[in-house]
Parts: sequence; C-alpha cells; structure tokens
Amino acid sequence: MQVNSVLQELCMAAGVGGMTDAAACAADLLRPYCDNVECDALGNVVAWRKGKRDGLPTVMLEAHIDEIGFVVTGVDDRGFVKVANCGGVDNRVLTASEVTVYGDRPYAGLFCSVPPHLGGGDLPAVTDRGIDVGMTAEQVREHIPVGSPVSFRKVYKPLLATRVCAASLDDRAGVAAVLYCLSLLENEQLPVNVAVLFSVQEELGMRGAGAATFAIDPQVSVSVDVSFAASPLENGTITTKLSKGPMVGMSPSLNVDISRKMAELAKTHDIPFQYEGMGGSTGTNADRIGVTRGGVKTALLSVPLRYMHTPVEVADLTDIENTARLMAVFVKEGSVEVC
Amino acid sequence: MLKHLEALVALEGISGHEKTVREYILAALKEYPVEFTYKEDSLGNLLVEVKGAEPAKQRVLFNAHMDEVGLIVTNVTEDGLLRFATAGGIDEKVLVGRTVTVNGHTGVIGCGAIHLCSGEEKNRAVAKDRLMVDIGASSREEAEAVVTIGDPVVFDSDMVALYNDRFKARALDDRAGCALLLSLLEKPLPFDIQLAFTVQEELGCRGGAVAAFTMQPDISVTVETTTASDIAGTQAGQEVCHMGDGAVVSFMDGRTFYDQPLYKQIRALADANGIKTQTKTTIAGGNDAGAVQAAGHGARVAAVSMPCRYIHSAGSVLSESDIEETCRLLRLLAETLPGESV
Repeated sequence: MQVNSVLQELCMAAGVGGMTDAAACAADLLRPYCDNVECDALGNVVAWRKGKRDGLPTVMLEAHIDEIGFVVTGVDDRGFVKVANCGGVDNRVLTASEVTVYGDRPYAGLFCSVPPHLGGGDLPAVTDRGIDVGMTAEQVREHIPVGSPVSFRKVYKPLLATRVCAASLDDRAGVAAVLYCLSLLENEQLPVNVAVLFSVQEELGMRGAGAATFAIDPQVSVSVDVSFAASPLENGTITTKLSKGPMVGMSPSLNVDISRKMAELAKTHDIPFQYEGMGGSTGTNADRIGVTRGGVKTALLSVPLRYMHTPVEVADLTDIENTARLMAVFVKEGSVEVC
Repeated sequence: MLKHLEALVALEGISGHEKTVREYILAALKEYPVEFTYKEDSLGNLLVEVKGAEPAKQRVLFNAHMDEVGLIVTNVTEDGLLRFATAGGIDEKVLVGRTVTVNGHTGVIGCGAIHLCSGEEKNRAVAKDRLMVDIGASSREEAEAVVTIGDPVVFDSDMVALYNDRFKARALDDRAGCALLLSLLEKPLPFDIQLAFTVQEELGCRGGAVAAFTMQPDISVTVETTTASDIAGTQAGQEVCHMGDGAVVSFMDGRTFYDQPLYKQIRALADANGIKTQTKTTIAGGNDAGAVQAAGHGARVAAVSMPCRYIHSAGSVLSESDIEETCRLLRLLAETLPGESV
C-alpha cells in the first residue's frame, strides 16, 4: 500500500457533518484488509480483523473520518450563500477561500473578500460572510437547500521531500495510518482481535466514537489523531515537530502503562517518536472512548500537523508511516499484556 | 471564453517578471493576419503599431498591463520557511490559507493553529509580517536548494466555472485586458491603431508612463479590470460597479480625471450601438491611464474596464457577458476614434 495515494484518495473525498463520501471511501479502502466492514446508525465505519483463535481480547484502532466545514443557513438578497460553522474552522483563513457547496450537485464557490477601503479591515464572523457561487438569490434557493454541507475545496499537493498539503489531513492522516498499519499486519497471525473504527462527528464534539465503541466493546483502544507541529507562528509554545515521528500522548486521561509501552516499543524497534504531554484531556476521541461502558484502556498517537483547521494543513508522509509501524508493533507484541 | 484568456491567466508574471507573458503575447500577435511592427522597450513593455486599411487621423492607443500582483522572497529562515514582501497591493487577509507557487514548487501560507490562539487573536487578521511561505523544507539549506532571495511567488489558482456565466481565475487583472487587446486583431481594422502591453502597473503605473512617452498617442484607452464590490459584506451604495451590468467607463478614479468629452462620447457610442455600459460610482483605485495622461506632451485618456470581484486575490471573478460587452465596445472604439481628426 502506498500511503501517498491512499491519503490523496481520502483527502479528495468530502466528510463534513453528515456527508458519507469520505466514510464510503475509507470503507472501500478497508475491505482488502478486514473480515467485514459495516456502517452503523451514525455513519461510523466499523471493521474487524479476527485474531488467530477464538476468545481473544479486542484492540480497537480509531481515527475520525469527518472534517471541519460549514453548513448552509440561507442566502442574502444578492445571491450570496450564508453559512454557519460545522466544527472549529479557523476564521482567519476564510477570506477568499475556495469552497465546494454540496447542493443538488456540487457547486464551486469562494468566500467574499471585501476590499480594505470598504470596511474590510476587520474579520467578519463566519455568519456575516457570504459565499459567491455566481448565482442569484432565486437560483440559490432552487439549487442549494438550507442544511447543505460546504467543504473547503479539495486539494492535495506534494511539497518538498515527503511533506504534503491538503484541506482535511485532520484526520485523514490518522485514517491513512490505520490503513497502513492493517497492510503491515496483512499476513500476520494476530494475538488479539483488531477492531477498526473510523468515527463520525468528532469535530462536532466527539459524538460518533462513543456509540461505536459501545458496540465494539474493546479492552484497549488506540486513537490516531493529528496534533500541533511547531512553526515559527506559535511563538515557541510548541516543541513537537514535523517529520520527527508519531507523538505519543501522555495525559492523565490516557492509560499510562500503554503510553509507556508505546514509547518503549518505538525505542526497541528504532521508530522515531516524540512525547506529547497534555493536561487532563487530550481534546480527541480518546477522552470519550476511555469512559465507554465500564471503561476502556486508551492510548493516543498523533501525527504532527502544521496549520490545523485551515485549507492548507501540512503533514509528513513519513510521520504517518511511522505511526502505522508503531501501531502494528503494538498490536503484535505489546497488546496482549495490557489487555 | 475569450481566446487566449485561459492561457494568459495560467502564466506567471508578477511585476518585473513579465517576460513569459510578453513572449506569449508576441507569439499570439504573429498568428493574426495583420501587418504590424513592434518594439520591446528597456522596461519590457511590448509596443505595437498595427496597420489598418487607412492611416489614422489621430493616434489611438489601447493599453493593458501584463503584470499581476504577487510576492517576492526576501529571506529564508533557519527552519526553511520563506519570508516575503508583496509586489503590488495585496490585503494580508486573502493570503492566509492559500497555496502559492515558487519556481514550480507548491508552497502554503499557513498560520498557527487556531486552537492555540487567545480569544482576541482568533478573530484578528494575521499581520502580513508574520506570514511565511512553507514549501515543505526542513532547513534553510533544503529551501535554498530550490529558492533564491528575490524569486517571485505567485498565487496557485486555476480557472473554475461558477454558476451562470461567471468564472474564477488568477491574474484576471489584467490578463483579461491583454486578451481583449489581442481580440481587436481578429478582424481587419479600418485604421492604424497602437497597442501597448505594459509592465509594472501594479508598482505604480511605471511601465505605462514609459510606453506612452514612446508612442505619443493622441488618445489612449486603458483596458482594465476594476473592483466590483457588489458582494456580501458591503453596504448598498458601496458596490463601485456591478457584475453583469456591462463595461465600466470611468469619469474619475483615484489616479485620473478622465477626458470628459471622450467619456461622454464613449458612453453615447455604446448606447447608440446597444452595448451595455456603466460607470464607477466610487472615486477610488487607479490604472495606467493616469500615467499615460501625463506622459510626454500628454494625451486624452479613457478607461474601459470589466467589473471584477476579489481583484488582487488568488481567485478573482469575471462574467462572460461583461467581457463580451467590453469586447464589442473596444472594437467600436478602434473602428471609430482613429478616423476622427485631432
């Protein structure tokens, strides 16, 4: 499996709010590696890779399949589409951003940019902005119903070396890591059952992962999300870096033994990694998964990412590959003893 | 779609780096069955004298600028990021979150994660001096292997159809004007005319002044795009001009008080021939006309523009019908004005 092409395929599919394109794409990519692939009532993608015999504990590998975007709330008199946030979009990048509006078909559009001399000095709230799709108000009402999802325009571009830029690396990078991990385990006899969850509505408050984890009922869960990679734009507050390997989450809400095990396995297998220390919550699905049913031991691996929640997120393919390697080693060698 | 426009907007040519555009235009000129002489002046303007059926009674110049706004690399950081200055007026708000191209490499202009910003920072534009281009380099050495200080950086943006007859593209200001100048050669002309494809307009109409000095026109028609602010976020009355309402003929802008009889004549000619025109309702902006008017012994000047939304951003928007109206008007002017006595 080529991480680059799989990631591109994932990033080009839209998954804002209730959209199912990205989940369908991920489900198709899962099929070669799993015994069965299903979607639950919320749209979560759930798949199983059985272990070498019956009665084994379950380790869940999780990443979220949804992405930030917008939802159509109406149209103004001049024909500009009005939207609200669907997830925590960075308002600073919206002016002149290209988007796709999923009405009765996909329509290309862009957020209006008011010239500075006409009062465009301040950033308008997203609900005060408008999207130009070239339509009259009447045409918008005909073709773009209220409630239609809107995504940033889908792009996937290689940068220098192994770095790439795309609009929804959060968290397609995590989904690609789980898929690559499964490809590494393809011909292995597994000491545990592996359940895969590509969860929905993470960006709306981690809503999808809870129900699916309840159904899967794992003993251990490893979530893969993205986290902050340093750039000079954070004033030195971030020290984790792009291209330096998966970030092993260390947080009171995560299982400390598994987190330490991850670091130990990375060292043993010469996989680059970096620690990510966090306070009481990780801000990821791991927080939600950990308190499902009678409790789940959780770990968090993060792919370092620059410019999170913008249309130009940047990640390094080697970080995704190394995240997958570490997860694969954990499934093979580390999981049984912590279940 | 106007011939040559799609090819012209795909070309990279910020101010001072217009060579690729000039070469394209020169090759395109040679494809038309018209007789012309040309000169590339020392700034890079392409000055063309086109033969018509008869000599002109007065010299009429049609000019459009080849350059586009963009960025210039001014420094490379330890981490391999590119610091830049803008070439031409670009609002920093349209830069953040965009992809750009430098020497064929994709770069992004990002910002620190929103999750790490204070409440106030979340809704404040990122200052231009904080912005950098990230081409994926991990170090200064890696970046400097492909980029040198002074290299131009352009918006990475393709041509995309919107609804109705509208489309989004990069560099419509003023490649659309260049394409319209070329369109004048599609049919034989009754009189000689002058064409100037100018440089460095975005730096303050530097090329236009020099071109006009050399060509000494009696009348000049600057062919441009102009801001249409009939968009979300502006108040009624702030629109400047309206997309879909036809060619914009200016009576005054921030740089030029246009020749009044010429302005009135052009609007009347358009009316008489069923061509839709409008005028700018805000005195703002400026173009090469201001430089041409005052060059040499001076000239009578007019500006004919296409209403353009989101000018000076990665994705400006034009309407095909406005281009068609402007095209018809220019043809009419080329057939009429040179036949009139000075």
